[in-house]
Amino acid sequence: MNEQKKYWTDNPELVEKYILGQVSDEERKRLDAEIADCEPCKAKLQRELQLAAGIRRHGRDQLKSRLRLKLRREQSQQIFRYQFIGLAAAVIVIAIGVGVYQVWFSEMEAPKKFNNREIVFKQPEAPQETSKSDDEDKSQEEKDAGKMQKKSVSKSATEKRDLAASQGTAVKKEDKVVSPSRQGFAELAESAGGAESKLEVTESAAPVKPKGNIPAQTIWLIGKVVMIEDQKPTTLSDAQPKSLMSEQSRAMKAQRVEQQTKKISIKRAEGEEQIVLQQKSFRDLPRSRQTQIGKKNVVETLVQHDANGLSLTIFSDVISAEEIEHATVETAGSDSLIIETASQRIYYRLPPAFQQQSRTRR
Amino acid sequence: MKSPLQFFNTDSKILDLMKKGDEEALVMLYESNRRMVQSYVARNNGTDEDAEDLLQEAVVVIWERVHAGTFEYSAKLSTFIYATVQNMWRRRLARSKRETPTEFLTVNDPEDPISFLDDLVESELSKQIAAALVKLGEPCKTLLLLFYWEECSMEEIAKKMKFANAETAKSKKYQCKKAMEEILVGMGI
Repeated sequence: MNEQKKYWTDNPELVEKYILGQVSDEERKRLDAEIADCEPCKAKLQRELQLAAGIRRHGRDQLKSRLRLKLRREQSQQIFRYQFIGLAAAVIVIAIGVGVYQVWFSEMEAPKKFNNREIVFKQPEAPQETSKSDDEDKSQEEKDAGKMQKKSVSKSATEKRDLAASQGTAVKKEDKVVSPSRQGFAELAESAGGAESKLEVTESAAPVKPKGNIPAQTIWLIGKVVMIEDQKPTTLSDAQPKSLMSEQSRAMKAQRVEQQTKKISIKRAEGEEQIVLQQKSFRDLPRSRQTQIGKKNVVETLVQHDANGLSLTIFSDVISAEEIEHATVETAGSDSLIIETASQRIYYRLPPAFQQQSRTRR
Repeated sequence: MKSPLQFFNTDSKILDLMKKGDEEALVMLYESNRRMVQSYVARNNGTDEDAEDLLQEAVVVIWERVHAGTFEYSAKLSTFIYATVQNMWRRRLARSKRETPTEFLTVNDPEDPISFLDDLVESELSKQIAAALVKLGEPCKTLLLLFYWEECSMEEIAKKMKFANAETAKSKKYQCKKAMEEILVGMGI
């Protein structure tokens, strides 16, 4: 009993200091040597060490689990940061893309001035009036335009619909100067189109690159032809007996030279812009544009815009030079044109891109 | 270009945070040594999970020593981490009787930062004792953790656990240890 009390392992405070490493190396060596031959002391010390290690392990496990939780949070925040950066980068790229698109294509947007202006075209004055000076012409045209505009304003929507309804039978010349709204135009075209209820006036909206002698600021439009006053559509593709067709072709061929040279200038009400109507044989069409041959009620038209104004070249063998001379041009809404001859009406929708080009040219 | 004292600035920042008890220091230390430890463990037939566990253990060891006031800043924290991980991995390999990688034979080990108590912590028996501590419940669990893990003095424990004085804390610790012994006997340990 007395012998047992000699060992330091019976001192709990010293044991705890030993376990927690709070003794110096020299002291440790001395203590170790002291219990070297005392197995119960070693066992007791080992038991105390295991208890301390177990408690320490519990503490470490708790701290490690908190650390793992923090690391997971950190990772998810990092992922969120990457996602946010990715999203921000995508937004910037889209914004730049939109900016670039606007810079590149703003040139091709519809000009506000052109679109907002209600342009009224009128028939050319009698030949003797053209001999007057330019100033007189202008003043006269302005007066006429004023009258025409008043006239067009006074036309009610009902009148336009009535007019459209009567397309199939007869169209009076006096009713030509109208400025229907876009909807009115659509109704007009729809009612006049007969079997083809949906009117698609333009098919080729993009400006084409100039080829050969075709100048820049040029597009091709496909006009929708509607016959009036019981006239039949007389494009070569129409279902006609072959003999009749060839006879007509020959007659047209003979007329072609004359048709090429005939053109009509139609000045606008404001007197600044001029529309030149020109007619050519569809045989003069470039090959790339001959895809419409054989289609009913359409006419290929080359639209050019230069400093002098708008020029419409209709490639058709069924419109005579005389008809072109007496043709009128009307606007419908802000972007549509109607050419009316004695026998037919041709509807066009000007693409915005071309209008923008017109504006920039100014 | 990194400043030569940058590591010192980072280390001192981490140590300051640890002293304040801010566990964000653990995350900083972990993240700054993750690649190094992963690379070491991978070279020695270990997995990413082994690397993660070893690094967490090494980081916690630093935390413990800083809190116990036994940590001496004699080298970079990353050097301490590397040495700790190296020794822990060697012990684990020896315990699992894996073949010792050749690298251990060529590396000149610095002073072993792992104490014999740290070594025991890794044992299976300590896992069972840790489970017994959970059964013990509060306040004994916290008291024993403060004494054996955080190495607080009786005065500190009395203050933290709002005991009357250090003697009361000492008496309470004795009772808790007895209760723990009973649980361990009950568990056949």
